[in-house]
Parts: sequence; structure tokens; C-alpha cells
Amino acid sequence: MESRPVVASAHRHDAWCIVVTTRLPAPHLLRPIALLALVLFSLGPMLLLVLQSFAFGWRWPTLWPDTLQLDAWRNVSSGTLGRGLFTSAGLAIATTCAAVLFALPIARGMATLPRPWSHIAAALVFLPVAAPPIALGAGLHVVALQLGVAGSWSGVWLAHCVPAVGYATLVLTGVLSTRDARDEEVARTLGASAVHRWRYVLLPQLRGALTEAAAVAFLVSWAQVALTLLVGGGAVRALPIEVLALVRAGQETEAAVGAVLLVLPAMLALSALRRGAARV
Amino acid sequence: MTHTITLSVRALHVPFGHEQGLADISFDVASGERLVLLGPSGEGKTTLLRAIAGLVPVSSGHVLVRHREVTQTAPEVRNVVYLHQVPVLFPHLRVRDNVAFPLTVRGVARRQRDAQVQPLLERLGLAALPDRLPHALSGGQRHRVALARALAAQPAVLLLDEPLAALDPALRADVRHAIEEAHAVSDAALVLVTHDLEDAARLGDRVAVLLQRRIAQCAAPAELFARPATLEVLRLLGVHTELSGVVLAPDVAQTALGHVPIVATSAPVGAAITVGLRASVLEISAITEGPADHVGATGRVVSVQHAPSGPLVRVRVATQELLVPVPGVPSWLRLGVQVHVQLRDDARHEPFPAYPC
Repeated sequence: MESRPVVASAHRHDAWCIVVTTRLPAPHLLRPIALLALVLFSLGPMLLLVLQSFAFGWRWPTLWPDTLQLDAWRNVSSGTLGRGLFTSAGLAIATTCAAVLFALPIARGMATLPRPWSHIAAALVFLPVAAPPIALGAGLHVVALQLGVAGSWSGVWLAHCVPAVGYATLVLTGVLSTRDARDEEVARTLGASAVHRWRYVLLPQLRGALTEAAAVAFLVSWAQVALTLLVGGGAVRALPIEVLALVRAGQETEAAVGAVLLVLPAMLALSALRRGAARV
Repeated sequence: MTHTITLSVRALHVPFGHEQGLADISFDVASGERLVLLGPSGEGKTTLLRAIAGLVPVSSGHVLVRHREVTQTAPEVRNVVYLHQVPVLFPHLRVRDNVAFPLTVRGVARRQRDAQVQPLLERLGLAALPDRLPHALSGGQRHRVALARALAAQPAVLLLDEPLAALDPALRADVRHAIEEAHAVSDAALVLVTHDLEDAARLGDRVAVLLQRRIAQCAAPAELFARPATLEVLRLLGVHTELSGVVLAPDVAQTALGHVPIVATSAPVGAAITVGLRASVLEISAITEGPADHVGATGRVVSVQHAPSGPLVRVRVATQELLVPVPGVPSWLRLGVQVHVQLRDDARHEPFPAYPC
């Protein structure tokens, strides 16, 4: 569709007005154009990253790499990326478990607390979410030093848990505060103990929200750089830290492999997030 | 049917936050009996049910279920099932599993559960819907599932909180029938809250009137409607028209309609009283038909209202207004016309409730 400016003129009293309008693309073209833009902006960098992970000596302004090879991928299991992947997976899984376990009772308490206590509890829980990671990391580093866990896996895990619990609580509170709590009253008068109510009433209804909270907690830990660096002090080599080191060292192909490895579980978590959201 | 006392409420006081709460509530309900709690909004009917179920704390008094003190017992071990006004079903469970819930939490095996649930589904017209989720049920079906689930718990006491409120007439009849069906297969003592007189009269073996957060009267529906215990109860029932008078003898009052028989009163002769007349005992006739030879008075038509039961004529007699039902609107009946108001022949010897002013 041609898109030409249209110039119109009008004589009004003694002044001349010139109106310039631009024709927008026809409405039926807007959607495909928007879709194309979305694909380019979201998938474009990912595709380049994947290509880079197979490239050898690919430099600007060459449009396509001269040589494609699998060396960087073959070295994953034996190199620093493999160890980083293992460390990150362990941290993220442990953080996810802890975050969901802590967030569920906290969110339930917050959903049932009267004001102003619910607001105070919310402020406390969500503070680590709102605080800049560097500031949070600095504070947690001091705590980790005092606990004697700075520079250790457990110290980093504890540090990851702080924002992860906040995010998971945020997700669960949203669901728990809007659900109809009368079904627990009904369950009680029908003979359900507290354990029964959790097992047969609450948890089945929270399955979607729990999946969502777990996915969010996993993502928070998986992509965590600031807390890992500050509390881990370089001794805990999670995958993002290894990727950062490879980028600094100019090892672009290996860094691209690491970045792809970082993206894949994140996409799985996002997929779980969407499934969870659909079930809520 | 046995008539052992299943629910006993003794001098129960239930706080309403910082307000004066329910005070000195006492009543018994036998197994298989239906007690209706009737009262205006805000009198604490729902709170009383929730207190019996153990869902709100009480400040003093006792709740006994099958002679067992349960006042401080957790709701899950009281054997008292409470149903909300709008049925609350577990949204993730299918109809069969919703109904089987009380059996599931008691650890009953799947096969036994199914064997117990199936007759309930059939009894309450749910046999074709066992695999439906609650969101796919109609309003009436949801009520039926909630009732079937309550019966599956085999409760000693079944508490229904305004189950017929906010329902359209067809659904109301359906749910009322479901309640009767459900209670027919249970020996539970049933306590049902309503503010609807018709529901109270149709569903209650006895009706307890809650006024000013106390039980003002507890009686069989016929007794309640014939002899409201107080003027406040009479006004709540709203089926009576009030007539001022003075006591002539312990069982006769002088009113604008002449001498009227009253329920024996302790008020002294000459004391001012209010007589409660059910509208159905009054009739009007055109003044041109000549003076009546029995109790009656002349009045002026103030308004003609059309109610579902038929037209109602409001007649001003001296300083009082009486509401009189008429089978139809005769041609002579117009606003402002003078009419003769009298007691119907068949009601002239019926003693009417009377209250000291």
C-alpha cells in the first residue's frame, strides 16, 4: 500500500493554513507488521545468539559466519560452563523449593491478616523485591559474613531466597486474597481437619498459582548476577557469572553458548508460568 | 420418627464486635424437626447459625449436640453442617467428589464412597450430573449438590442460612422442594434462617422469631400467626392490621368496629390496648346496602392496592386505617367512597391477640 503525504490547503479569513496528513497502513496490514516487529525484536537477538554459538571467528561487518562448528558446545560438559550450569541449576531448584515452602504460609497469613497488619507484612515481604539488587546484595553480604556463609553455596542460596520468597509471596498473595475462603468453612463443618483442608481444598485450588510462584522463583535465582557476585564473592561460579567472565575475556562463541544455556531453562519456566496463569 | 432432642441452645450470648450481640438465646430442636429462625435483617440470624456451627466465638452459654457439650469444640468435630446462603461448592471437584467430600476426609474407601453417594445423587436429582464441575451447574443444581454433600456427612444438625433468599420464584420452589427431599431422608435437626413468612410457614415445624437480638417467640406456624406474643412480633409478621381499643372485660375489647373478642388479657378494664386483626377476617360492603346488624363501622376508602392474593382496600375508620381484602373490585368501590367495615361472620367469635399500649 502506497503511503504518501497528502497536502491540503484552506483559505480562512486572511490566513493560509496548510494541513499535512500521513496515511497509515491499512488496518488489515497493522497486525502482520506488529507481529513481524515483535518477532524481530524478541526472536532476532536469540537467533543471532544461537548462530554465534556455532560460529568461528565471526566479526562485524560479515553478515554470515565463514565457519560453523560445534566445538564450543562439545566443551560444555567438561568446561566452566558445565560446572556453572550445574551450580545454577542446583541453586535455582533449591531456591524454588524454599521460596514456595516459605511463601505459601506467608501469603496465607497475609491474606487473612486484618489491616494494618497485612499492609505491614506486605511491606516487609516485598521490600527485597522493590530494593535494587546491588543494595540488597550489599546488605545480604554483611549478613552472610556475620553468619559465616559468605563465599559459599549456602550463602548464595540464602541470598537468592530473599527476593525469590518475595516474588513467590507476591504471586500467591494475589490468588489467596481474592479466592473464596468460605469453602474452608464449609470443609470444616463437613469434618475436614486442617491437614484435610490443605490437602483436599487449598492445594488443589492453588496448583496453578504454585506453578506460577515456582516458575518466578526459579527465574529470579537462575538470572541472579548481583547477589551471586556480592555474596558468593566469585567463589560460587553460577552460569551467569561464567557467561559474564567469558564476555569480558572476549570469548564470544563460548559466551554465546552460555547465554543460550541461560535462556533455555528460562523459557521452560516462562512456559510453566503461562500454564500456571491459565489455571488460576 | 423419633423426637429426641438433638440440638440444645442454652442461654447463648454471642458478641457482635463492640455492639450488643445476641442475648440469652435458648431453644431445643428434636431430631427430624425443622426450626425456622425468622427475623428482620441485622438481628443476628446468620451469626446465631455460625455460633452453633462453631464458626464464631460465643461469650457465654452452651450448645449441646445429642446431649454433648460442643460450645468450645472445633467445627470439624461438632457433627453440625452449615450451608451458606449461596451454595459454596469446591470448584475443583466434580459433583460426585463434592458430594463424597465428607466421606473422603473420613478416609472412607472409594468403593464405599461411591455406594453411599449414588443414592444421594439419585434422591436429589443429580444422577445425570456426577461428572460436572460446579461452574457448569445451574443455581438449583448447585443447591442440590450442597444439600447432598451435607447429607453425606450424616450430620446431627443441619444449618441452612437463607437458602431461598434472592432466588426467582421457579428456582425458589425447586430449592424448597430439594430441602424437603433432603430432610426427608435425614434425621438431622434442621435449623433454617429466613425472613420470608411463606417459607417460614411452609418449611418450619416451629418458628423462632428473633427480634432485638433475642428470641421473642418460638411456636408452631399456626400458633405464631394466630397469636403473636408481642406487638413487635405481630408487626414483623405483617399479616395483621392494628386496631386500637379499650378493655371491656378480660376477653372483650371496645374498638372502632364495636365489641371484639380478644385473647384473655391481664390488662385492667378500661386500659388501652391494640388488637391484632388478620386482614382476612375483615370485609367491606357498600354503605347503601343498609347498616349491618353486627360488629362494624363506617369508613372511607383511602386506596386500592393490588397484591398477588387479590385487591386490598385501605379504609380509614375514625383515626385508624384498616387493610381489607376483597375478592374483586366492585363498580361502587372508588377512592373516597364511604364503606361499611365489619368482621366476617365466621370470625366474630375468634379471639384476637391484644397487647397493652
